[in-house]
Amino acid sequence: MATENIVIIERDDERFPESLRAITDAPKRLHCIGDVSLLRAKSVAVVGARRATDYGRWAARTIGRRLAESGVCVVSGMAEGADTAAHIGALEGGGKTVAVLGCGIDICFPTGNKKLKREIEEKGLVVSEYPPGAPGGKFTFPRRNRIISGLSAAVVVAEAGVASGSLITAEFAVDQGREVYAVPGNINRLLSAGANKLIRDGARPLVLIDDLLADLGAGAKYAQNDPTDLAEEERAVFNLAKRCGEVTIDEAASLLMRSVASLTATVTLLEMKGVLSYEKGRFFVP
Amino acid sequence: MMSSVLTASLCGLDAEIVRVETDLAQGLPYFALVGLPTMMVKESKERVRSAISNAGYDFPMRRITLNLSPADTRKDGSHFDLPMAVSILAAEDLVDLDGYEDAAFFGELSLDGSLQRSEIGAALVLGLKEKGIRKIFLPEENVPELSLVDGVEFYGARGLRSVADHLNGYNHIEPRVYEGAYSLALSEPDMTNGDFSEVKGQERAKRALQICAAGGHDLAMTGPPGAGKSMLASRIVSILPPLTKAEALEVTKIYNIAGNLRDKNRLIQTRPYRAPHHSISYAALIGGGCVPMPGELSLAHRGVLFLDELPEFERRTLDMMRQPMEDGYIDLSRVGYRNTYPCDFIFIAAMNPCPCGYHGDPEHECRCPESTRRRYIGKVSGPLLDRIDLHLDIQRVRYSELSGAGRAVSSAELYEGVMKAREMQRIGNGERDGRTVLNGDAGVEPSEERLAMDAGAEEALRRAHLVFGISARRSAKMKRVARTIADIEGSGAIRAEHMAEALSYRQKEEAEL
Repeated sequence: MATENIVIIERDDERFPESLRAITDAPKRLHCIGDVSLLRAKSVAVVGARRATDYGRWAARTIGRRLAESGVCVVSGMAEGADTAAHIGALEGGGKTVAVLGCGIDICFPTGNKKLKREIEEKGLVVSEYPPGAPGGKFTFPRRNRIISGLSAAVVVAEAGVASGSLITAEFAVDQGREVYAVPGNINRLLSAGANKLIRDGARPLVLIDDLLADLGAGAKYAQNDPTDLAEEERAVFNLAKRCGEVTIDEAASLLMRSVASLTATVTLLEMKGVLSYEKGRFFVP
Repeated sequence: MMSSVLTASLCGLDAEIVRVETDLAQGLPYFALVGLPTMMVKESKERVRSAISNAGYDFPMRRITLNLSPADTRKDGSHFDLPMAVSILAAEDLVDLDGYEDAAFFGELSLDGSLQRSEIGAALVLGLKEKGIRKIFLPEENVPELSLVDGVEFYGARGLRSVADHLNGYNHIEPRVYEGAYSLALSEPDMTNGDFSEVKGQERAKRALQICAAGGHDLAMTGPPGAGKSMLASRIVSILPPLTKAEALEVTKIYNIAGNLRDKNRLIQTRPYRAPHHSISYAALIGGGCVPMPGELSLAHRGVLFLDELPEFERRTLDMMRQPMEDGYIDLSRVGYRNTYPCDFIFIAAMNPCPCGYHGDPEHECRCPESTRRRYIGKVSGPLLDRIDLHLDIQRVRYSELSGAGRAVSSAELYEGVMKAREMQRIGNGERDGRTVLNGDAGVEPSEERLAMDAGAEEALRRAHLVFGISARRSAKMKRVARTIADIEGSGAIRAEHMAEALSYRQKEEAEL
């Protein structure tokens, strides 16, 4: 990793974001690679469990994308699972994203995210308070969470179990006076317990992504992805997905009384139009 | 005092004619056997000596030299007993070979002179027939299993004595000739593994298997435990067209040589379905041994090879499969041997999405860290997965579906589509070596005309290239799969819906997940 393109911003530097300077225990300096102006952009943190379920990943990715499309910068921790999904979503939305690392800025952890890290360095910003080469430790990762919330106007918890690091971020956010949103999940699922508890304790339930955008004043760029140029059978499949959430091809075929073969074709066509997503045997409206 | 008798020795799947020559000379009693016999053949001397005596003849008290010609190839097997005994008797003028100079003999003798069934009988007979032999003396018990071999006179004998008597003109053995042999098993699909209608709520997977069966494509299924992956895979034999006569003999030959003829008295009439466990060694999978024997790949020839829990197989073992899968045959070389066995099969792989199996399952929580999951999937090498045409994610069926809301499509319905597609392919792709060229056949490039797409299909493929990042190589695969789908639907050109369906079976990149 080339160390020459690392920009070091001290706390008294004017590029150092006000919002971060104001928090208790603000970092002394930030090591940055990428577009430093993003430190002062309007940002929202999207975080979640590392072992996120498909649902959690979907939520993080979709929220990330919608925020990016509305011109809001997405801040996250580049960890596995939900964080990664949030970054990917933001990049998909053609927007800006900031990754705050818990280790030296030249270290990629998890190593599987090398490609993502490079992409964020090019199109967004990677930040760390630790000097290059510093290995991540047990305490550094939870500690960097204060920077994630510090950089953001609001924190969205996409999915969290009972002892998730995302809850720490939420706690920091509350201390720092940021709004906390949590994506509700099934009440019988361990991995939703953390996020649901946040809602019980006063976080805003994120039921419509548009609400979040409205709260930020970003405004919904477009109301709901509701394509107009669909053939009749495509419309039927799309409406079914909208109504039922996740549907398997088999279920849809028997509900719409069509053959599995032709339904598969329709779903793939819709997928290519970007109207549906098909993953692990189920399709849904992204 | 010389005689010579014909028999065969196997090298790989092919047989080579061997001439057993005997010379009786004056001198001290001695029995010399030359012509590169293996240990097994050398032991024949003792059996032949006793068998001749116990059949009621005097063993010649002379200097016997027995040569297995050509003398430069290794001879292996216990079936040389009968030709050796007949050759000795003929040299001593105890039997008369007049009129049977062009006949071949094989069979293992007991000490009492009776003939034992030969495990490799079918392989020997097929080899001999190929070399132009039309009369064969063999153990009586071998005759029924040869019912598909026509145009050959089979003299099934109980023992050495009955062979000798026949040659000498009394106690005539009525030769058995199978003409225009017909077998019921070769006209209907094989239902022994069950019917697809017994699998509820996996209609999409069944459709994928129908495409595999129709076009000879390979399939990789990913899904949690209990989704019914092996249940689905095993039923593919119920929608495959029955073996042709030539194919049945080819497969029987392989099983013969591997010593795997399950039903002792019959030839193999159903498509092989091989599902080896993941602890299998590479030698057992691709073939091996100091005299190379066919492995599971060859035993699945003309049938289906199903590997469950693909990432659990040793990586080295899996990588060995790549070349043979591409070529349709496997070359095994050992000191003194070089055997080629065919292996042309439909490959079906099943795997869990992660070690715990529940990644992506809506009802169970996956306990695997991302890195563990990636390592697990990464155990299967890219090039192997790349060779597979259809990739399918399957889910466990919810109870409400199991209890039967929807109708489960049956094997008979799927079979109809498969046969229609095979006929379309026969007309469109033509035949090679007496077999229809299938869209999924690796070495064959389908003609431009066959891959003609209408505007909608072109557009779908173009979009897929942009949206899914389908590479040129993949799109060639997708075209083949779309062609098969069009064949099932009986369509001349590939239309948009065929292409779109084919694209749903694309291999998803990790980044797409």
